[in-house]
Amino acid sequence: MEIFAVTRLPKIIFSLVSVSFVSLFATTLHAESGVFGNEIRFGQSAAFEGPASELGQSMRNGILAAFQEINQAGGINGRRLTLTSYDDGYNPSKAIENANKLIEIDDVFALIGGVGTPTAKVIQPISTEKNVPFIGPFTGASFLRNTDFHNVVNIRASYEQETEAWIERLTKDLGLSRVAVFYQDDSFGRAGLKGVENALKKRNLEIVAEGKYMRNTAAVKRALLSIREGKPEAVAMIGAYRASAEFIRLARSLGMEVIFLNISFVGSKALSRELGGQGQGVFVTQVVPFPEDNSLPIVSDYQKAMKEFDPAAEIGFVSLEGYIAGRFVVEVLKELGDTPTRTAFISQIDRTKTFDLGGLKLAFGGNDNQGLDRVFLTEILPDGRFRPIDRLPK
Amino acid sequence: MTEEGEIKNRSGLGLQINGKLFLALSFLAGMSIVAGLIAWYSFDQVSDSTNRITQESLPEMSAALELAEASAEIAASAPDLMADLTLTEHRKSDEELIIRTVELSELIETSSSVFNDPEITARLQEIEKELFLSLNLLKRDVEEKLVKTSERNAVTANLSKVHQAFLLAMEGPIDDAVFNFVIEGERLSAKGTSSVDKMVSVSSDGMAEFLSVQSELDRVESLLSEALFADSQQTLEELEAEFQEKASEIEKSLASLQEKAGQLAFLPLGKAMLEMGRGPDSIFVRRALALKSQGLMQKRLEADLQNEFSILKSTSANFHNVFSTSFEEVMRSLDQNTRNEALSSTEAMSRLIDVGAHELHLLLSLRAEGNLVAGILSEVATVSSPAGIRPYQERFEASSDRMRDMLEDLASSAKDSNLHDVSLQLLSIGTIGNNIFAIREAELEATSRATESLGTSRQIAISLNSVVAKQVLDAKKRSAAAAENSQKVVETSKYLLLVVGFASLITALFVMFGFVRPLIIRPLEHITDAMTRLAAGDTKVTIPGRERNDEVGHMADALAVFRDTAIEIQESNHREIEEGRRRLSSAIESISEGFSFYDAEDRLAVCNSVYRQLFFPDESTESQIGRSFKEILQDALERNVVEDAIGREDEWLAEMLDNHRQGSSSYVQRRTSGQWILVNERKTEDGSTVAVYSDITKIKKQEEAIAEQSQALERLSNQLAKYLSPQVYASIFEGRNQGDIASRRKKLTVFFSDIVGFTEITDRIESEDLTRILNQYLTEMSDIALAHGATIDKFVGDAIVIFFGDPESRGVKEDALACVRMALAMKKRLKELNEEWFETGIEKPMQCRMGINTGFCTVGNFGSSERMDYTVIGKGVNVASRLESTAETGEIRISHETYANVKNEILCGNENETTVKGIKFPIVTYEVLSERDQEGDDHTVIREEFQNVKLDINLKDMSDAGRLKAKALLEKALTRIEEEEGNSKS
Repeated sequence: MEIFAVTRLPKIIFSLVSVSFVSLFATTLHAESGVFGNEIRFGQSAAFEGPASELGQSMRNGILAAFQEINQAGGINGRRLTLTSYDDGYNPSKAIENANKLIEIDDVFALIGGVGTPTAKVIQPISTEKNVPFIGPFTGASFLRNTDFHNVVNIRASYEQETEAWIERLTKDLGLSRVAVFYQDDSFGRAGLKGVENALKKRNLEIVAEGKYMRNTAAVKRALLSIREGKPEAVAMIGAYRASAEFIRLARSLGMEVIFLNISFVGSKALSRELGGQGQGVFVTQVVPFPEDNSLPIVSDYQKAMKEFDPAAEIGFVSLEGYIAGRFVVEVLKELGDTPTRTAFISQIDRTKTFDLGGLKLAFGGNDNQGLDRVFLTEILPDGRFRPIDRLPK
Repeated sequence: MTEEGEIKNRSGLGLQINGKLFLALSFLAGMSIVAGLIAWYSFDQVSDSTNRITQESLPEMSAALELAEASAEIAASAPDLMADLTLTEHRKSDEELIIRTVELSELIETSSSVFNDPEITARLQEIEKELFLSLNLLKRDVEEKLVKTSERNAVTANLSKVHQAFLLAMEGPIDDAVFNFVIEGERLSAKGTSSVDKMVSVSSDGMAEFLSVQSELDRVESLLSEALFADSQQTLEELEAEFQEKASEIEKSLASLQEKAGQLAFLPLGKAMLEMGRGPDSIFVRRALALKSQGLMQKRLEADLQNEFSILKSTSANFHNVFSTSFEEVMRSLDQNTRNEALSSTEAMSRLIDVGAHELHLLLSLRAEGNLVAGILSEVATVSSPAGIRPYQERFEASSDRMRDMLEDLASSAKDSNLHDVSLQLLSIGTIGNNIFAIREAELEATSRATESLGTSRQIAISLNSVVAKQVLDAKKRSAAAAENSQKVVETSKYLLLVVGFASLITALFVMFGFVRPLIIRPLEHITDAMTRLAAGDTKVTIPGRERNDEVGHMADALAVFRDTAIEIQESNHREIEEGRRRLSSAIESISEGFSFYDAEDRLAVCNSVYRQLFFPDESTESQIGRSFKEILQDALERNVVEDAIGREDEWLAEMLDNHRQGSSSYVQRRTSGQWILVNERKTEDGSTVAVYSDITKIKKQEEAIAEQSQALERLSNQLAKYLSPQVYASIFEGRNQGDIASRRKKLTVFFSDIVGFTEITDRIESEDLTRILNQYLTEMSDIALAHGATIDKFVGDAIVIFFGDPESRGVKEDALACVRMALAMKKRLKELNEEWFETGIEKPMQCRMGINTGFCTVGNFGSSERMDYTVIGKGVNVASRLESTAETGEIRISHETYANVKNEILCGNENETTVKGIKFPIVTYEVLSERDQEGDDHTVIREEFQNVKLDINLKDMSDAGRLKAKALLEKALTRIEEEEGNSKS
């Protein structure tokens, strides 16, 4: 039996050595993730099909416009920025699949421009575990504002800030107190609901009625009925554009004359189009400046970049948000020098720091992983276009 | 030569030692051969059995173990197949398994030659075949299982997708159904209420009309009745007017009633009533006639009217009769209508509830059923035994039937083709040919088959192991037997070797002590002894063993020859050394200096007679050879020959020894005989010391004479120094100025001082005191002057002439400044001296004045070639002298040029003008007041001077009275100045 043991030993040693070798090799390879000879690769999982597809497409256009702008100027230290996008149809299980694929197979440097709260909720743990930066998700959900997740970089104001702005305007400008909430029955919708509830509670008010609908449907009629019960003066809406538009149309057909307040996530342009000229009295809060406001350098840059990117592309809030995310990435990478790493990227956000993107200041650091804090109120005009306003008209 | 021949002759006889040794060693060799044979035998036995173990048992065992390992690996990796989750993984493990089976069959092939047992080989091959077959089976089963598993996974994935789609598809219809239901319900209830409202309002309007017609007609009737009995034409006319008015109203009402309610029975009656008041034979016409007529005619007409009245009454009664019937009818129809309306609304409502709620119910049930179906289907996917599948399938079928029914029902009311399709798709997962039940069942069956095959393979592997284990056991037994055999042989050989070894030892001891020791070693020892003594120089030694006839005898002969040669060489060496020594000592003796040579132990080895004369003149040289240096010196000390050592003998001895030890030294020694001896000592390489002693008395004498001369010279120059300025002295003695008559022009600062009233002083004090005071005064002043770097030109009685700038100059400005500072220092010192002198009894202090000028002078040695004086002459000197003579007592007066050089550092004042002989214009002079620095921060001193103004206030030294006085004076001055100012302005 001893002979047996002796003949086995070298095999064991060999296998031990090879295992340690392989793992060593693997770790050295991993340090350079997403950064290649002449390319820095970014990944996006967003909706490109289904009711939220317009959001995903616009985010992508905005990011690509910003990338093309820097690439035409020679890239970052000679490296081009590229974007690999996969469709998740606003569906969490598909989002998990996409995130794993982007990180493991495509080996991207960071994830950028994701769309939606439920998808972000599943992508965030994956990205945090692998220390992959998760930049500018198109959602204002508060769990992403938790600074324990060092890899998460938010650009936009939170839903809480938006809902607070709604209630502030309703109570201050119009003196209204009866507010109903229409929301999508998922984490996104509930986050908004919670936000409205808190904002009202601060003013000793309560929600008069609530109605919800299932994600990826436009089945809003039951919600409408329960909201009508409450006889609201205003309806706070946390939903996707198709369902929200359907709701507004039906409410109007039932003779409800109330104020409709929509969250930025709704997709303003799509909402206005769906409403087809019936958009008056519908308000949308935005988390980026008005995209036609040329007075801000970043907005005029954006318009120029979009025209360069695709002369046919329309300008809008969502693609502007995508553009700001893209510009932000460019700004951070410029500071990282020739060997950008994920850790270095993230540490730029951990420090107290302000990035000035052409008149738009993104402040980070301390307990803040969110660049912008402002909420902008807009109104849909009879011709379907938007107009920035400071207060709700009487 | 003859001795050599003898040795050769005897060599034939010396074979005896050789022979004896040969015999003894041969015996020992024989014993060794015997021992070797025994050892060889036992080794042979051991190697034989080792061979048997290594060639047969070990290969057998290792082959068997390899086989066991291979089969164990197969048995161990077979379950891997079961654990595989995907087909690719399976293929990989399968490949590995194939490699292992191939290895196993190769091992069986190779081991057949090792085992050398056809029966076992056949058995192994049989088992291998079985194993191969069973593994193939296992592989097939696992493959099947994996195919089914992947199918199941696909179906499960599809199921969850379809279920999700189903739920989404359900959402729209349910939403619509709820909404439609609520809105339709609202619409229906609103509609019912409005129609009843309308009806009631119409009916009540109608009824009001009815009742108003009735009351109007009643009025008409009463009008007509009144008309019948009217008693005047006027009343009649009034009544007719009213009637006409009412009649037209009633006609309108009747027409509208007819329009609304159709031809009612009371309408003609009403109309008939109206007709009674109209036309040519109306009641009014007739009554008017009756009123106009008289008599009979009147009576007839009255009766006619009476008749008419009854007709009117009956018509009225008839009307009322008919009207009430009609009214009742209208009321009844209203009631009926209302009831009908309510009924129809209720019907619509219940229809809505029937259809809408039924649809909603259907949709909700469909969703619940769909969820149930999805749940059943997904649970089936994880059922663990085939028996468990059946109940699920039954439940599924029941649900599926219900769903189909509901879909059919739904198809009529809400045709949502998408929902329909999706629902059927969901059901198809459980119904189509390759449905989830069949898949799961097949999978479970395949799994159980695979488990069975695995058991079989494992069994076979175990049986292979048992065959192999038996083989290993046999081999072990055989190798144990072989080992035991060799053990026995080794034991026996050990004893034999012990015996042989002992015998060899005894023999060797005998040879050693009986032969080698007495016959060889002893004689050799004797000869060695003799050789050692010979080597030590003992040439008289006797050589032992020469009588022997063997090899030892030859050696002794050879040694004797060697000894004789050695004696001869020794003698000739002695002669040569003696000759050399004699030559050396005569050479040493012939040199005039003393010579000594001390060896490394510091003992005197050689010396000559000069040396002997110096250190031990009374002893012979030979007696001192061998004594140490120290002893010789001590003897010399006792004899007192060294002058230097007298009184400090120990010290001197220590010095000498120290010099001697240092190795290389040179020093002079003074002898009591007056001789000077130069001693040179050198150490040689071997540590001995050579010393030469030279007599230098003559040279020493000359040196002393020279030193005396130079001392005299030095004394002379010291005397001289007192009469010369140190600079001049230095320049002469250092050779810078050769004392030639030479002069040059140079800018110098010249100083003159003089004691005021010196002549008076000479009269007053004794000349001894005067000399003392004057000398002290001049000495102190010259010290100050020298300290400031001045050149003291001369003393003329009490006057001192000093100049700066030659022979050394620090620059004109610095020279002037140094001179002024010197003057200030002198003035200060003189004040102190006065105090000292006062203490010694000289009452009146000495005061001096000083003058300083800066200007070009001629400086150099003046005089004849025998007597020269270093001094300055020229205008600059004259001016300085003049300044001194014009100065006030205790004053330092300087010329403008000096002032220009020092004004920044020195405060001056008291500007004055004076004339000098030989200079046309008067010169400007200043009084030196003090050093500027000293009063820079001093606020107690105010000193200002410009044209027409001079202010000098020293607050520090001022008394209170003085201060008041100064204040009054300054105030007065101020008032005067202001007055003057006023005057000049006006």
